[in-house]
Amino acid sequence: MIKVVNLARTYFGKVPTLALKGVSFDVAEGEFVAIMGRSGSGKSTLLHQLGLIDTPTGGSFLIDDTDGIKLSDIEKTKFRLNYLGYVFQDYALITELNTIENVYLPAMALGIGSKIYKKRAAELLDLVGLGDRMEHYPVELSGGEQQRVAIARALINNPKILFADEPTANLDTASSEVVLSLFKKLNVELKQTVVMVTHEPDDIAYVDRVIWMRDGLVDRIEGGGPLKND
Amino acid sequence: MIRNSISNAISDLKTSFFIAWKSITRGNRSTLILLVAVLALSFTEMMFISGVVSGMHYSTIVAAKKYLCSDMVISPPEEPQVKEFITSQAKVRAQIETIPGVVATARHYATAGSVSFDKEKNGKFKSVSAAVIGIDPENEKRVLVTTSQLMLEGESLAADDTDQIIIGSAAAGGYQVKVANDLGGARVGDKVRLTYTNGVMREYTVKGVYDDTMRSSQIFITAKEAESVLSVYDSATQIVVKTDPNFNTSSGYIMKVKDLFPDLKVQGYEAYLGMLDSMLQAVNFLNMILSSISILVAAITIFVIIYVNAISKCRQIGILKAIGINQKIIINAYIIQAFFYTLCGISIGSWLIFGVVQPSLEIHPVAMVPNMINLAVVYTTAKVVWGILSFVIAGYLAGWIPAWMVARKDILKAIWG
Repeated sequence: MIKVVNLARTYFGKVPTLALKGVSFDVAEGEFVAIMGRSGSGKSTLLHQLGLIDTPTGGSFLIDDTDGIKLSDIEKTKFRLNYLGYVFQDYALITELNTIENVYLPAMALGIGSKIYKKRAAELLDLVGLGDRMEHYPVELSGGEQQRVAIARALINNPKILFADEPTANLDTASSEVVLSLFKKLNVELKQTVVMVTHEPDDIAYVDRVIWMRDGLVDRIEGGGPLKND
Repeated sequence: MIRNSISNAISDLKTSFFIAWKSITRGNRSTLILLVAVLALSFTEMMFISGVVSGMHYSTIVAAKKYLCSDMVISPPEEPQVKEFITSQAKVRAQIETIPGVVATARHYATAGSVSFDKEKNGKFKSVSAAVIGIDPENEKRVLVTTSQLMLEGESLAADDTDQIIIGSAAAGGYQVKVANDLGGARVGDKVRLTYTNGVMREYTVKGVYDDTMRSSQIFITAKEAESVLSVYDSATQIVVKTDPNFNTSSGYIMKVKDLFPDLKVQGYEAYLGMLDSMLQAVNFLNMILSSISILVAAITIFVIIYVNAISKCRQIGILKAIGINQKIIINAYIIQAFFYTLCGISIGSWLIFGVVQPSLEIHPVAMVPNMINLAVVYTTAKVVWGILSFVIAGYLAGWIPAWMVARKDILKAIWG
């Protein structure tokens, strides 16, 4: 599903920062992969490249035969809408929209009929355990609930890959477990490919494989998959 | 492919409307009310000033036509040499009145003189220089608002009055209108001496005193008396013509008269606005500046509100882009909000102008020139449409520019700074 070859990202400034120095790995369809490492290891940077939120300065990567490097900004936006789901650390819900509206907004932008996207949004909210909170606004939800809404939103367009950037960082232990269990459930039952950045060692229990990052390079990969460093 | 593009455009617009509507309805109510109030007042101010200037222009023209020159003035030939009179005026007028759309004509003898009056009968005369107009009273009524309708005291002239005179209240003296030089209080029945510029001196009885605000202190005698003074017959210094505007244009009538009498000088009312016209041009220019300022105030207000809103939601905009909402949708959402505020402002402003100010001025007129010209707000369809369009364009730009400035930010910078 994802093939990364020698991916690099340098932030140019007064002092150039080599956030990624040449990373290579694969992610198979249906895998639940965690990207872990210390602060500054490049894990979030890597996620941003794969999620088409940022543009690498070197190397290449493919998402299902689509070259992520060659996409224009407009094509990237379209690709994200059609094929990727993104869950942020701080939920990132739109405060003026209620729960169900937050979930179906990307489907509306995709041009799907309103009956269809409203039905799907309701189903996803049921799946994440928030079927009875559809009319509530983000301010009326707990952190864990908001994150579950964010997950439902990320799933509305049946993404090929779900990217999660430290999804439990702002949650307490109980809420974290609920969210991680949900990811696991999606992965097992719906064969959803999930790539998650986390720095919590306890999260390893939920994933199939861990890619450890260190100083902009893949340090090791546990649970299978070749380790490639340049 | 075209169907796809149209379908994409529709769904993008739908999403923009959705985001905009939610932002408006769930946003800060006080900000919304304040913004709409500012826009409404800006629009009202712009339309009011524009309407008043148009009203002044319109009222001045109406007054000039009513009291001074009607729709058209015909003067004696100037080529090949300047003549003093139009001869055979009765025939000339009869022919002009055959032109379809011509309502009526009247002739004037225009001369000048000095009127003197000794109020105290002690040999101390007060004198006033004045234009003296000889009129046919019956014909005059058909073309202009005559002194008979403006009388403060006494009666209007009859056709055979050769020893009677009508003077203006400013010249008479002692009325509300004060001028530097007057006759010291001439009244109906008083005898005044009129010395014409050709040296002829006559004594007249004041038959009436009229409100002369619009007639610039003209003195009126009958055409019969004027002919006696000027030693002419069946002539005119000018012929004023009243026309029906529904039948032909001003220039159309001028052309028709010129066809009949190519030697005569034919002019529309515009030639007689004189200094007033220059003043109105200056006021129009001022109106343009003030209108531009109103539009600028409205645009800047929208710009600031949208910009602050967008900046405060910079992170949210970054997130929307990250989840796949394209930049165009986000920018259009802000433009729609700007349009909403603008249209609300225009609606309320229009109600204030057309539902409150205009009817109020009709019910309780504010006099610009007492008993003659009232303050009016006058609009043409073009002016109203242009006013609304200016505001809408300003609203669009004021919404688009800040939205574009914020929405084009890099996603990472927008979300994480």
